[in-house]
Parts: sequence; structure tokens; C-alpha cells
Amino acid sequence: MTATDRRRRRRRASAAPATLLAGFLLAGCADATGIPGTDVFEVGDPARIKGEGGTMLLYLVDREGRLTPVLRPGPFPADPGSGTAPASKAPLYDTPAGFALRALLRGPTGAELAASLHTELPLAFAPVRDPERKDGLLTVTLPFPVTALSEAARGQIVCTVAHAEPLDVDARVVLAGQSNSIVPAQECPVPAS
Amino acid sequence: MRRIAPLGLRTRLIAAFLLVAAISAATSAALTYREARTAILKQSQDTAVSSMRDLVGRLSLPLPPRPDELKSACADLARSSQPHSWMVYAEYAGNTVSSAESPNSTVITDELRAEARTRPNGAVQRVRKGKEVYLTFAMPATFKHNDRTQSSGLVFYGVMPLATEQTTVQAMVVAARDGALPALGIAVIPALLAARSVLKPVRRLRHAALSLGRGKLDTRIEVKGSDELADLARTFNETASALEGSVEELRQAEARARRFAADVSHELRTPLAGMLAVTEVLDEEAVHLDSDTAAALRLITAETGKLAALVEDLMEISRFDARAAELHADEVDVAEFVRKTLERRHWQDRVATELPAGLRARLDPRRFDVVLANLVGNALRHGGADVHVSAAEEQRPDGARLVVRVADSGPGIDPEVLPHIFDRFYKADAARTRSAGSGLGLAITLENVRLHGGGVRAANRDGGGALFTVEMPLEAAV
Repeated sequence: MTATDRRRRRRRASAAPATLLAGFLLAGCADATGIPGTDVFEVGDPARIKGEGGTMLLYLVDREGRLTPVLRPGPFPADPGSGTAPASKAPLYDTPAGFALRALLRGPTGAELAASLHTELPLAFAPVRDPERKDGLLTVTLPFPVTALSEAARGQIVCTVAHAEPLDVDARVVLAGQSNSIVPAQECPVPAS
Repeated sequence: MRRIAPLGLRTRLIAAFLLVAAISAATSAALTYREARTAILKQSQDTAVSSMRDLVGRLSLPLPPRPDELKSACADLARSSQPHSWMVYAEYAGNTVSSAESPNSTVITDELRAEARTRPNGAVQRVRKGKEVYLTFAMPATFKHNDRTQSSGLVFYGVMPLATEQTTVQAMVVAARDGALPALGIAVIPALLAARSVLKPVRRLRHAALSLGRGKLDTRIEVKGSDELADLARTFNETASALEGSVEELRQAEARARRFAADVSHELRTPLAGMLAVTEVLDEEAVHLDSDTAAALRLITAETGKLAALVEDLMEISRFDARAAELHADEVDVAEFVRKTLERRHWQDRVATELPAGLRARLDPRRFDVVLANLVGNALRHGGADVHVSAAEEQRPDGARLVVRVADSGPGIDPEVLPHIFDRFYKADAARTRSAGSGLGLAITLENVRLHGGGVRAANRDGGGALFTVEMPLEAAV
């Protein structure tokens, strides 16, 4: 090693702390410019509002094709365990699920349309029977072919039927329609806890 | 880098202290600042988000909410906003309303919107827009049905300018800077103290070394403390002691040698005086003896005379060595003095002179006579004829000088010999073991001139021949 090399090495060694200091100061200056922006990050639970408008929950579709819950006045109290129909009602409307299903098939109200919600189901004014409960499945029989229904339309029926009664929320629903069309059992895609 | 290298110890120490102070001040300021900024922002954010959650939680809305109800809810939320006023935006089914004039915010990003719609959680994003910083936060609204909580599809957004926080953070930066600068200033004080504690012993050491160099061998340093500098001082003292001892030993040896030479000369003098007296008598009788015996007798006489002269010279030089030589100054006329010196030795016809009349000098006549006789004798002996003696008064910065030049036209002096020409017993020709002189003539000349406070130079003239220049004060100090 020549003397020049040694000198150079010494110079490098003495340059190291200076570089460190410069780094510190630069970092300090960059920091000193104020408050930086951030990415999105989660902060805790959502807020829970009190939903008004009734005890019957239907699912409509918004402009972006997402299932959106709406509340309408229903004939049944929302209390769990009291899902039996009042005796005065006609036999066709004997379960909350059937009631909600038929309301759904009659289409959105004016207020719902005003809020940019719509239904993707065909309107059906023919009598529709209550969903049948069999082998842990709920079967909904509809007066139109069901295989051609959109994803959102199926979701509307499945969720409306499943959320009508507390026990059925996680139930699997089979759709059966005209011309022996049938859609296999599926669960409501809307998360609920 | 090379420019920095020769900086003094003090400067380097101060620089090092400042560097350390700057690094620590900057580091602690940066860390403190970071922590404090994070704390401030977190508090604002937490307050805003939790107050939004509380306020939204108190709402009671139909599903779907009517736009006018939603707009008045936004206005209510904005009014109750904390810690600063927010603007509130609500999004439902792709429609937005707000507490501000425009229903859409330019600050809320698509990422925040996507996060709020896909995950049922509160979400926050800090957004910089130009120089302004905003806290944007999303609060999805859920509702409860049949004991199950699910998303209502309604999301509230808050947009809160962080102007106050920005000001606070800016103030912290200023405070950190204003705190660090005095710290740097204060760091100079310990730096100066440290430099002083190092430099003071170094300065003492330097003075001591200078003093030692000037010959004060008894110089010692006071040893304080037990640090490296104290070690250095101790080493210095030991070295000085050793040096003093060696020099003292040398001096004693030299003094012994000189005393021996003086004693020998003195002891030789008495028998030589007797021998001289006898040889003179024998010399007179030589004419009566046969020629061989007479020649031998004359040789003995001559050699005895030379021996006596040598002993005289030795004694003279011993006196110089013993510093026993004294100057007996007298005022003389230089021209007349030189002429007399030449006449006394019958050299006046062989030597050309150039002597200004009326040049007077104060000098020791006997010693100056010896000087002249030695130089002229040398010139006559080695340089042959054409010896030239001149005297003059010349002005020098330290006063008037008497300058005497003795020049000859002989072969000159061998350049190798020139540096040693005033040495004792130095023979210009090593093969010439016998010469007319004692070998001490020029040494004695030099000592005599030095005694007058002057000096002698020997040189070769351009035209050939040697030139001796004696230069001494016109007024010799006694």
C-alpha cells in the first residue's frame, strides 16, 4: 500500500461522519417541511345508525350494481321469535319471507327510485307462494324462468328471503322457476354479523 | 481536504465538539419532532374520527334516505364537528350530498372511497393538496335488522383542514432549531476549555524545548496530572537530564584534555629554556668544530627553537581554551601599526601596502601584531612574493568595522582544505610532515580576532592566490 493510498483511506474515514451528519440534516430538513400525506388506513368500527321506514328488509340494486338494503313497513314485528303470521291475514301471506318476496317482486317505490335504486327482477303480479323449507334449504318458486336472471337479481331474492327471519340469515336458497329452470342453492352475498 | 489538514489543534477540537453537538442536537430534535408530530396528528385524527362515529351513531334515517334529509344530516354533523370544523359528504347509491356548496369533494381520494365501500370500517387518509394538508376520513353507516348488523350502503366522509396542526408543527421546527443553535454555541465553551487544557501543556513544552535548544540544559517542566501530556512532560524532563549529564561529561573530558595540554606545555617550557640557552652557546662554538658536527649542532639548535615556538603557541591556545586570554585595548593608528609590524620582521620590502592615513582603531596591539604576523608570514611562506596588505574602515549594520585584507599571488588554497584551514594542526598537504609553522598559527589568529569580537575569512581570489579578510569592530569592547 502506498502512502497516497493510506492518505486516501484516512480521508475516506474522516468523510464518513461528515456524510452521516449531512444525512441527518437532510432527513431533518425533509421532515421539517411539515405534515406528509399518507395511504388509506383503517380506524376502528363503522357507525351504526338507526334504520327507519319499517321492519321489512328488501334488497334493491344501486347504479353500480351493488345490493342495497331498504326498509319498508311490514306486517310483522321485527322482534325475533314472533315470526308467525297474524290470524287475520290471508293464507298466501303467512310468512315474513313470503310477504317480503312478494313486495320485492312488485318493484321499488317512488322514494326508492328517487334514491337511484332499482330492481333487476321482472315484475310479477301473479300469486307467488311462500318459500318452502326442506332439508335445511329454502326453495323459492317463481313465475318466470330463473336461469336467465342476473347475479344481482338472484342476490336480491336470496338476501330478501334469507333476511326476512332471524334464523334463516345463513340459510341456502334454491330458486325454481318456469320451464323447470332451477338455480342451485346459494347464500346471501351481503355480509351480516 | 488538504486545505483543512494544517488547521490548529484548537480549531480541530472546536470543530469536533461542534460536530458532536450538531449531530446530537439534530438527532434529538428530529426524534422529538417526529414523536410530537405523530402524537399531535394522532390526537386530531382520533378526535375527529370518534366524534364522527358518535355523531353518525345518533342519526336515525329511513332506508333509502331522502336526499333532503341526508343533506340536513350532513349539515348537522358539520356543525358539531370536532376538533376543528369539517366538511361532511355523504354518499348513497352513487349519489353524493354535502354540507358544503359542492356535493363532491376534490380532496377525498378514490382509494378512500373504495376502502370505505368494500370494507365496513372507518378509514383515514391524510392528503396534501398544494400547501394545505387535509385529514379525510370515511365512516360507513351500518344498521341493525333482525339482530344482524349490515352495511346500509351509506357512507359519511369528513374533510378537516389540518391548518392548526401545520402551524403547531411549524412552531415545533422553529423551537427545535432555536433550541439547537444555542446548544451549538454552548458547545464552543467546553471545546475551548478542552483545547486550553491540551494546548497549555503543549505551549509549556514548546517553550521548554526552545529553552533547551538555547543551551539552558537545566530546563525542566512541572509535571501535572497523570495523562499522556504529563507522560510527555516526564519524558522531556528525563531526556533533558540525560542530555545535561552527557554534555557535562563531555565538558569535563574536554577540560581535562585542555588542562593536560596546558600542563604539558608548561612542563616542557622550563627544560626547553635551558636547552635553548645551551644550544646558543654550542652554536657559537660550532665554528671550531669539524663541519659534520657543526651541521648536527646547528640542526639541534634550529629544532629546539621550533620546539620552543610550538610550546609557546600551545600555551597561547591553552589560554584561549581556558578563557584566560585577556584583551588589553589601546588606541592605535592602523597604518603606522601595520608598517611597524612589517618593519620589525624586515618584511617591508616584500609586502605592498595600501593603508589610509589617519585610520584609528581601538585594539590589543600585541594580539593584533600576532594576527598580522601570522597572516603575512603565511602569505610569504606559501604564496611567495607579491603579498598585498590593505586596511579600511567599512560600515556594517552593527557599526563601523576595521577590515584588513592580506592577499598573495600564490597557488591559492585547495577548495577541499578551505573549510578546515583554521583548524589546529591541520596540514594542507598530508605528506608534508614538517613545515616552518607550528600548525597553530591560523587557529591562534582566529582566536585573537574573535577576542576582538570579529572574524577571519579565507578565500581564493579570482585572479589566483589566497585572500584572508579580517573583520573586527573599530572599537573593540573590553
